[in-house]
Amino acid sequence: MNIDYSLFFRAMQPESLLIEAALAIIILDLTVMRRKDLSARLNVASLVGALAVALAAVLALRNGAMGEILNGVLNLDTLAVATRVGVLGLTLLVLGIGTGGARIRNPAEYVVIVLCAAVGFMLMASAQQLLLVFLALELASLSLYVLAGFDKSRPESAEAGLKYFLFGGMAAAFLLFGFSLLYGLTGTLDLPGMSVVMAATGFHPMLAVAMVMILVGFGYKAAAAPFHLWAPDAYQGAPAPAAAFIASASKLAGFVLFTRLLWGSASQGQMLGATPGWVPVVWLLAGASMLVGNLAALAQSNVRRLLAYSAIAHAGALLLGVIASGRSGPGPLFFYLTTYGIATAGAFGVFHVLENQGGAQKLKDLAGLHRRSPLLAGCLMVFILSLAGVPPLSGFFGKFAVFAAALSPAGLGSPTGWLAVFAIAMSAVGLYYYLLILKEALVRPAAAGATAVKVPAAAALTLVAAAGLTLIFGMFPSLLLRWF
Amino acid sequence: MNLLLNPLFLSIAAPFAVAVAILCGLPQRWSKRLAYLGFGLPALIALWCWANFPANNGAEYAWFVRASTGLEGFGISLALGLNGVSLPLFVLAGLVGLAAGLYAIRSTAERTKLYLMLLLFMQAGLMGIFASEDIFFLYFFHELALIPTFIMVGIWGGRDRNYAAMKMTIYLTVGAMLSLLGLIAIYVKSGANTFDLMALREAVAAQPIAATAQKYAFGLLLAGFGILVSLWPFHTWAPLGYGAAPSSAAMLHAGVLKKFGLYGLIQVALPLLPDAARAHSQILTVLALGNVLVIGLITIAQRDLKQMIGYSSVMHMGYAFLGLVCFSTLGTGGVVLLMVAHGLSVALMFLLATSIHDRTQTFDLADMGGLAQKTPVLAAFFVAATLAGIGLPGFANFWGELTIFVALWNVSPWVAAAAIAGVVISAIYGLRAVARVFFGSPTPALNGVMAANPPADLSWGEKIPALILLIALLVVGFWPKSISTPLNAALTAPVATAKTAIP
Repeated sequence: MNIDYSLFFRAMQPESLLIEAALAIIILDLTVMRRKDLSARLNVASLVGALAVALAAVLALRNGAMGEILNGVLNLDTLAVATRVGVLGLTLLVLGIGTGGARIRNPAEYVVIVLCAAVGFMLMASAQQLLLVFLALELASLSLYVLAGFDKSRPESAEAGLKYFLFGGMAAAFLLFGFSLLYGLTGTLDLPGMSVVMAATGFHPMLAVAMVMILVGFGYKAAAAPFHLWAPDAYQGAPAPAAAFIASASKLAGFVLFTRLLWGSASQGQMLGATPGWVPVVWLLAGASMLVGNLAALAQSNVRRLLAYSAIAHAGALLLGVIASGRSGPGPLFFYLTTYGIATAGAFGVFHVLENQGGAQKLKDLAGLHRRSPLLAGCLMVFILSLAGVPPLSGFFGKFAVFAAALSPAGLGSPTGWLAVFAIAMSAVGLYYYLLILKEALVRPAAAGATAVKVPAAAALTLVAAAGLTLIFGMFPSLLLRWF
Repeated sequence: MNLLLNPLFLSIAAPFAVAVAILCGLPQRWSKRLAYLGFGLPALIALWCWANFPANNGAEYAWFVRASTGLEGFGISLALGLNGVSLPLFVLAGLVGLAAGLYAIRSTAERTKLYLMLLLFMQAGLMGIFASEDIFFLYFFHELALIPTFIMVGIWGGRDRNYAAMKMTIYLTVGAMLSLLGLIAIYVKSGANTFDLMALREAVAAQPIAATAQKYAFGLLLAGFGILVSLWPFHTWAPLGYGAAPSSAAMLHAGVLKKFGLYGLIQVALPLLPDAARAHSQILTVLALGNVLVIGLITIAQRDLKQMIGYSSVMHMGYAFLGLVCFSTLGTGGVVLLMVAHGLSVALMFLLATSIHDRTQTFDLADMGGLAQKTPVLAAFFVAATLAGIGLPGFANFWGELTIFVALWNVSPWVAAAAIAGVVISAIYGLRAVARVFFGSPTPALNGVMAANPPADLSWGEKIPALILLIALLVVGFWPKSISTPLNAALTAPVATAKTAIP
C-alpha cells in the first residue's frame, strides 16, 4: 500500500480551496463585516465565495484527469473532471442569483453551506469507494436540508426543510442498507473490486434486494416517481437559490454517481447494471416520473411547484439517459444534466428577483413581465424554452442526444426505444405548461399598479450569462461533448 | 474561410447577424437601416444563385460547403448546398422575406425593434432550411424560424391571439417533434449513422431500409410533416393562426415556412423510404382530397377575409399532396412549382388583406364594399392576386396546378376530376371576395369609417413589396423553364426509384 500523498493533495486542491474559503468567509463576517448591514455582508460573502469557486474550477481544469488517487479511493476520470467543473459552474450561478436577496438573515453561513454542499457534490463525482460515496452524499444532503430551511422569516421554508430532511434521511437509510448488503455480498467497498467479484460469482438473490434498496434511495434523492412527494413542497418553500441548487448541481452530481454505480467507469467492467432486473426497474421509474411529472405540472398555478413537477418529469428523461449511457457512454447524459441545471437555476433566479420585489409565486404574478422588465422576460423565455427542448437552445440538443442514444441501435425494437418515444410524446405535454409560463410573462398585460422590476446588477449579469450559455451550448454542443 | 465566403452561408448569416445586433441594443434608426441589409442581402443572393445555377446540374449540390460542428460523432455537420429542388424554394424564401421585411420596416407596429429582430431570426432560419443538405440542420433551421412565429402571434396578434398562439404552438411543435422522431428513425435504421442527405441516399441505394422500419419512419414523417403543412384533418391551427398573426409573420409562415413539410417529404421521405411512401399513398390521397374539397367548401363559407385566405392556403396544400402521390417526376415537379407559386401569391394576399384592413378597420367581408373607387391600385393588385390563386394562365400557379392535374390524370382520372373541381371552388370564393370588398356600395358602417378617415391608395411602402411578389409570380408564369430545367434534372435521379402508379 504505497500511497502518494502529494498526488492526493494536488487532486484535492479544488475541494480544500472551497473549505478554506468557507472558513475565511466566517472569519471575515465575524470581524470586519460585523457591523455592516445584511446586504453588504451577503455581497462580500458571495463575492469571496464566487472567487473561490471560480479559482477551484480553474484548478480542477488544470489538474485534468489524474486517474486513480489513493489506490483507487478516488478516480478522477474525464467524467469526474467534467462533473466537478459543472458543479462549480452551477454553484457560481446559484451564488450569483442569490445576491440582492433581503430575506437571508445569516448571509455568511448561507454562503458557507453552499460551499460545503459543493464540496460534497465534487466528491460524489469522483468517489470510488462506498464509504466515501455515502459520506459525500450526506455532506451534500445535510447542507441542502439546512439551505432549504434557511429563510427563517417564512414558515413554508421551515416546512420545506423539515420535509426534505425527513424524506432525505429515510432515503439515506435505504441507501446505506443497500450499500451494506453489497459489502456483505462482495467483501469489498471499492467499486472496481466489487465489479470483479460480481462478475466472478454471478447473480445472487440478495443482490436484487440491495438493488431495490439502492434504487429506492436514489429515487428519493432524485425525486423520481413514486418517490417524488417531497419535491413540490421543498421547491415551493425553500429560498429560491436553495431550490435552484437542489434542482441543478445536486441533480448533476447525483445522476453521475448513479451512472457510476450502474455502469462503472470506462476502465472497469459493468457494475450493478449487469444485474438482471435492474434496467427494467429503472425503466419503470423513468416512465412513471415522466407521466406523473408532466401530468401533474399541468394543474399547477404556482410557478415553483410547476418547476418542481417539471423537474420530476426531467428526472424521468434523465433516468432514460442513465439507461442509454450503458451503451453510448455518459456524454449525452452529462450534456442533458448540465444544460438542464443551467436553465432551471436560471428560471429560479428570475423568480427570486421577482419575489424579492414583493411578487408572490403565482403564475399570474408574472403577467406583463415583458413590460416590467424586458431583461427578465427575455432570460425567462430562453430558460423555459430550453427546458421545453426547443432548438436552438441547449435543452433541445440534450433531449436529442439522449433520445438518439436511447433509440440506437435497436430503434423501436427495444423497450428503451419505446420509452424514448413516450418521452417525446410527453415533452409535447410539457410544452403546454411551459407555454403557460411564457404566456403570462410575454403576452398578458401587466396587472394594474404593477411597477417596473429593478434587477440587482450581479443577478442581472448572472442571468444573462446563464441565458448566453444556454444559447451557446445549444448552437455549439461540441463545447461540452468533446470531453467525452 | 471557405465557409465565410460561401453565398449560402452569407444569406443565413446576414439576417442572423443583424438580429443579434438588434438584440444587443442597436438604436431604433440603425436597426431599421440594417434591417434593409438583413432582408435585402438574402434576396440578392437568392436571385444571383438563380441566375448562376449551373445548367444540367443533375442531383448534385451547387455551392456546396461543409463545416465541422464537432458533432461528427453523431453524424452531424453543417453542410450547405442547393440542388434543383431547393433552388426555387431558396429563391422563394429570399423574395418573400424581402417583401415581408420591407412591409414590416415601413409598418407602424409598436415595439418595431423587437418585431424586426424576430422577423430577421425567422428569415435566417428560412434561408437555412432550403440551403441545408444535412437533415439535422434542416430541422434545426426550421425550429429557428418557427419559434419567432409563436412569439409574434402572441404579442402582435389580432383577435384571439392568446388562444391562437397557444394552439399553433402546440400543433406545430407536436408536428415538429414527430418529424424529428422520423428523421432519427431514418438515421438509426439506415445503418449509415449520419444525417448527411447524400450519404443517406447512397446508403439506401446500396441497402434499402427494412420494410417495417420504413413503414413506421414514413408514418412518423407523414404525421409530423402533415401537421406542419396543415394536411386535413390536422389543419385547424392554420386558419386560426393566420387569422391572428401579424401580416409579415403570416406572409413568412404561410408563404415559406409551411413549405418545409412538403420539402421534407420530397427531399427526405420519398427518396429514402420509397416502399413505405407507396404503401401510404392511398390514405394520403383521401386526406389530400379532403383538403381540396372539404376545406374548399369551408372556405366558401368564410366571412372574415383573413380567415378565408388562411383556409384557401390549407386547401391549396391538398393539390401539393396530390402531386406527391403521383410518384412521377411530373407530379413532384408540379408540387415544387406550386409551392413557389402558392408561397408568392398567399404572401401577396396576406399583405393586401392587411392593407385593406388599414383602410376599412375590419376583416369582415359583410362590412365592406365599393373600395375600388377610392383605391383603384389596391383593387388591381387584389384582383391580380386572386386570379393567380385561382390558377389563371400567365401566373406561376397555373403551371403548378396544370402539371399536377396532368400527372394525376396519368394515375387516376377520377382523382384528377375531383381535384379539378377544386379550381371551381377557388374561383367562387376568390371572385366573391373581390366583389364584396371592392365593388357594390359601401355599408353605412364603412361609410362612417371612410368619412372619418378617407382611405388613400397604396403607398410606396406597400406597393414595393407587393410588386416584388407580383413580378415574381409573372416571371415564373411566363418563363417556367427558369425553374423547371434544374428541377427536372434533380428529380429524374431520386424519384426514379419510386416511379409507379397508385395501386
